[in-house]
Amino acid sequence: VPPELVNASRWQADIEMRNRPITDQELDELLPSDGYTILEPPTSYKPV
Amino acid sequence: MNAMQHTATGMRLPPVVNRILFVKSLPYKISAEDMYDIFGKYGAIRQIRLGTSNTTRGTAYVVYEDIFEAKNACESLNGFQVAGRYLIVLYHQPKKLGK
Repeated sequence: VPPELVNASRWQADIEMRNRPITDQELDELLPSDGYTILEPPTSYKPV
Repeated sequence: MNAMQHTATGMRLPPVVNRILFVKSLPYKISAEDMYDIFGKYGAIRQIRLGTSNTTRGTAYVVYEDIFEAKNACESLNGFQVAGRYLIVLYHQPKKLGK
């Protein structure tokens, strides 16, 4: 397998790992909750 | 601006890039609508935490679903002017817990 393909798959795996969905619990671990409120998405908000 | 190619075409991301952005110098009375309006343009938002205590006011954490969209938002919104203030947008660096 040509090296650049090996690299590409490794980067792809790295990106997929960093792009996996985050659970609420993980968010609570990563982010402070005291002093911060979680904003409710406005009804008009449609994810891009 | 078309959505960036996400396939691994040698598209490497520096380790500092992640989906959580830390935003500073926000107007104190910014609304959820404004926050979603400004940050929602760059991609689907997973969550926004807005600082409400007097030490955290003016800052927020914006979490994107996709790392490339977060990178694009960070680069585009840094220095963006909101109500006369220039936004500071950084990648959140969670302190490694449990030393």
